[in-house]
Amino acid sequence: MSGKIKSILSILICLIILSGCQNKMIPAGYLPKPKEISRSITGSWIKVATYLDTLKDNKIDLYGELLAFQNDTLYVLTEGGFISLQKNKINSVSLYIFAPTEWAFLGLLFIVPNVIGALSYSDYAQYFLEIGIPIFLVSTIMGAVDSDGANNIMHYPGIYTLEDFTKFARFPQGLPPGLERNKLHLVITEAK
Amino acid sequence: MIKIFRSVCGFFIVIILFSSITISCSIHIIRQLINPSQLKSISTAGKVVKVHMKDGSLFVLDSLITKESSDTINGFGFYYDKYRNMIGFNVTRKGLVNGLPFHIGLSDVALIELNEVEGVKGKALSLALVGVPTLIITSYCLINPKACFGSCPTFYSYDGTDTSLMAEGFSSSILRAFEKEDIDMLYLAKTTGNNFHLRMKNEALETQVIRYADLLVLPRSGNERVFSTSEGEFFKSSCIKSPETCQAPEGSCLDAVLQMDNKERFSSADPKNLAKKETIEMTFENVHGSANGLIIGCRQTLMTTWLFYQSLSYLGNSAGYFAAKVESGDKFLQRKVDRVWDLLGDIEIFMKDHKGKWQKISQVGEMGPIASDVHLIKLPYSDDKNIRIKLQMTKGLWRINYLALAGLEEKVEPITVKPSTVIAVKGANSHEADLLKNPDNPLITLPGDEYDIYYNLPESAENYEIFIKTRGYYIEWMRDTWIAEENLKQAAIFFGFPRLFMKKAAGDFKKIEPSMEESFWNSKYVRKN
Repeated sequence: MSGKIKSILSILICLIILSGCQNKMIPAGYLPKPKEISRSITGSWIKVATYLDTLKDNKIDLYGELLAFQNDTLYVLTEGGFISLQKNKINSVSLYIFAPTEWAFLGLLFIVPNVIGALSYSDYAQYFLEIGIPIFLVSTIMGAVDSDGANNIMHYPGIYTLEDFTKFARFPQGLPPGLERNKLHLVITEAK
Repeated sequence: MIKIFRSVCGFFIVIILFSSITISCSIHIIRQLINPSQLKSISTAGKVVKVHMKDGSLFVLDSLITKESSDTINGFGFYYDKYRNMIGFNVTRKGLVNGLPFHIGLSDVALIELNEVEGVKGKALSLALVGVPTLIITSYCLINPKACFGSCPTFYSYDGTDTSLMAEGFSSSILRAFEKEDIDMLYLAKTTGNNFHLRMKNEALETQVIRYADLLVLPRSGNERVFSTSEGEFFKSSCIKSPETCQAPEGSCLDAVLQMDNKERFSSADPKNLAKKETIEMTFENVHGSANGLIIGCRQTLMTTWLFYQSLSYLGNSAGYFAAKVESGDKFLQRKVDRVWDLLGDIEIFMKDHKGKWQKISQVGEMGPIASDVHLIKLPYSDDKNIRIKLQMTKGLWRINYLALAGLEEKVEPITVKPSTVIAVKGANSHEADLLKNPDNPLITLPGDEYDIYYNLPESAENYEIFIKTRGYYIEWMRDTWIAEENLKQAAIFFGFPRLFMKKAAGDFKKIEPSMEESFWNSKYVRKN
């Protein structure tokens, strides 16, 4: 087997391993698969870059569940508790609506037999790898489109306003009357 | 023998096509929030409905029942308080109803939420359309690498619309001892002006030694065609007649043999004996003239490729010794090799005489599974208006592309045209000026080499029938996987008792036969340039 083929094989094996081990920073349950979103009982996960009152020049990133947006105020439930943020204190927001399908990983799974073939039959290693090129490219492009074109993440400022985020809040109708803030908790479910 | 991979153009078209589908099918979540008053005007059938209550609680309902006259809605599902603790349910997690429906007052409802996911199916389909064939081909090649990657110099030329595979040279010349000349008709080649271009490729794991690749050109006009016999005679014909009937064991095969196109008549090998024969009968009616010839366009299936590779596998490390013995003039061994191919045999042509008896006329057969060769077989002079022909051949060995009767008009002599320029597109011989011009100094190609060969056609005619005359041989590269299969006992049976081997090997061959052709072409670079 030539050095070039060995290098390609090493890269492919690393990609297969690494793409299956992507660390997720968002708690399980807050990043449903597209098909599960209609059963989600929480608001979407939100990342807010905000200015602190005490340190005007400093930004801080807050993470949590979007509870509501009303009267120019964003209500977020973080691990530390309930937080309200005035719109004018918000620098940027990212809202994570659903988990992107890992097309690149699925595509790499399709070429596992090609990698096995290349390793098992060194004479034909090049041919086995060439057979796998179309699926590798298609899945890579899919993965790139999903992670970059990104319908699963809404960003503010940009094409979205904070009002557009309302429908992805736990309370799209606004905070309900009599809400006891200390009783609110993140709904952490076990990862599937 | 050949081997190569997927057409580069086709490959990129696939990529562009599926990428386009992919991009246009990005996943979207369409979330609708509806006021309770609008609920009756929309369809919720089959959808999960979330009912956001004014007090912050939430119903997630698998089914929702609304009534025109009622100010309540009923449903089955789960009920959560504003802190998202579940406080009620009337279906199980599996969706089975296990209680009375929720009665929800519309006046207490803040918003109804509906979600729709778009684009998942499109992406999954794109991935499956590319991934599943990849998986099937790869699996097949994992099981049968010898059948998948294998086999001789291939020649590509312009067919009027594109550049495509036209011929393969000296497929049976597997050693120098078996070197021979090969003439192939470039049936679909189109000439433009007096320049003609061929691209020659080595698409296999083999060293190819090519002494010459000359053109034989014959002027023609109108609908005339020129065909050649295996004896090297060329005849003009403007009267080409298709058979009225063509009967094979499986039924009529007429449709498959009417044109030199992609349709071919072929059968599968006998499950108990690879050397078993079959016959095809055809009739030509209202035949004019007494000098006629049968035209057969055909190529082999991959049976011979498989047998050849199998024999090399069995020889394993002894293959080199075996080849050297044959090369050094060991006639005994040469006859052993010939016996195997003789057992499989050519296509034998029989014609019914005026007494109703089948008379053997001739036989044709050229090894090679890639490009169909067109052969002319001169038939005995006959005044019969109806001619009946029978072809006898090994079952599962031949793919018949074209059958016709040609009225032989004039014997013509070809003009030999040597290459004017040979350019190495990919290859190590680019510095040599006399490539393919001196048979004693042959062009030696390695896997992946490509050469553009240019010819200057005579200016005496506007249109030519073109044949390519090649001479050379090739040496298959031994693969590690073949050596691993070394089995000298099997090799002895293969070369010593080929009739027995054809019976023993039938079962193994039948396992891979159905997908062999498709897998072979899918794994090949038959490039449209």
